[in-house]
Amino acid sequence: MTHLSEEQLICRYYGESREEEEHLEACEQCRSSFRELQRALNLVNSYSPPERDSDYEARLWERLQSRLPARRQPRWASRLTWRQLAYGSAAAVLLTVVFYAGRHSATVTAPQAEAQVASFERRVLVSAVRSHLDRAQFLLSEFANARPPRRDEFVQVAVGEDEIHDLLEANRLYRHSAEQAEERGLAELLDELERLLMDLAHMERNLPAETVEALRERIVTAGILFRVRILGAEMREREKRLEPAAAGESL
Amino acid sequence: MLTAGRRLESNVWMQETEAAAVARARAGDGDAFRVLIERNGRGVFRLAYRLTGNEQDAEDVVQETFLRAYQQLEKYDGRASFHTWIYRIAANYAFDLLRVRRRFEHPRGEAGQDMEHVASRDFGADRIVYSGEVQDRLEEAMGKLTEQERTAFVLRHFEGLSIAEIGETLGAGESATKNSIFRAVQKLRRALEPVMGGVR
Repeated sequence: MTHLSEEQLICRYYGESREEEEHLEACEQCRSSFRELQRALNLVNSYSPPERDSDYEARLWERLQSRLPARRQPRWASRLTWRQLAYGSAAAVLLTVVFYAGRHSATVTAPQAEAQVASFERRVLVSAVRSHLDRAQFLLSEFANARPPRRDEFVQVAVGEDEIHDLLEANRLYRHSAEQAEERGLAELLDELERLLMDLAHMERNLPAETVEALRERIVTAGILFRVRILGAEMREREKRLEPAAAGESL
Repeated sequence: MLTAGRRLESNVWMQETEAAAVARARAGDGDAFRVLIERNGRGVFRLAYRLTGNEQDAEDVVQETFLRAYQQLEKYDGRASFHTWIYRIAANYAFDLLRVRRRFEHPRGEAGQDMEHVASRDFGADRIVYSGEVQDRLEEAMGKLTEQERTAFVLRHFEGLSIAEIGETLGAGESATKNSIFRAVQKLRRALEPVMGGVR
């Protein structure tokens, strides 16, 4: 039997390829090598930058503000009021969620300038939701792929608290949008994801075996990781369709 | 679909979203750019630190990244999320910074030799606790990666960017990008071998 190379295992770890799945199922030696790789790469997650103060962003803005060059407003922008721009934003969110759910809205009867803003923001938002689901998938995979702990063993959580909090904050944003648009499928998935992220955010960094198993149960057995993968793939498709070259084709 | 009343509620909430902030900043609203800094500043710092390995350089990268982003907002076409777009700017700048630094400050031999040095270095059991030792080894091992290996690895491992996105950032093809990640993982594993016994 030809065993998997380190490169193949690395590809499998990062989800670049699933061709190795069958071999891993059948080969204990390669499964063991993969677990070794997981342990090493999970340990790399502990490479954490120093924490910043709570007012970091405010100080950053202070430092940058005086250095920002004056911007010349585009002609269409000077003709739009703030309310109109905000309308464009809301319309873009609604459209994003509608596209996501596969329900193609008929027409947008806004003035041309607003349509430009909405079109631009729609692409931004589809990308943002896709990127969010990618990040969530990566985090959930960390737990799903972790070696099952022995009884009475404590497991160090390798994912940084800041990363979980960032993901949680973004998730709230997208869930809220989905609820506003009454898109139940997306809202339900994000709601479930949010509850999971909230639990993760409040957990100790050292988890007992039974907690880890319960998490894996929620992530793998209950299918949340699977659904995040599927919806992420759907978003990627929609993203392609919304690229400028394809704009106007199937919107 | 939403009623007009619910749309108005949605408008209020949407004023704070990133997409709206990008559109407003493009239209010349400085406060909107502040929203983008508040949403992404900490994340860009974490990326910059992992790429450069020190706080001062990371802070320089953060400031330069947001200045460049502000200057190039018109070029942002929304194909990638703003988060991904600004991370690419940061990675590009950090990549250039590391290349210049290496050229002038750290002439060194084969990367493999450096890693052997890391792997064989005696860390003394009583000097630091286990997690500190891991952190030290990682700091040093990351510092020994080439600029391309480090950037590709950080973008894939910590930021979850696709191979294509990383290749675009580095100006490298898919194969070269994958090889950079492979080499980085191999080197990091070797550097961590002495402490892996502490991981169950």
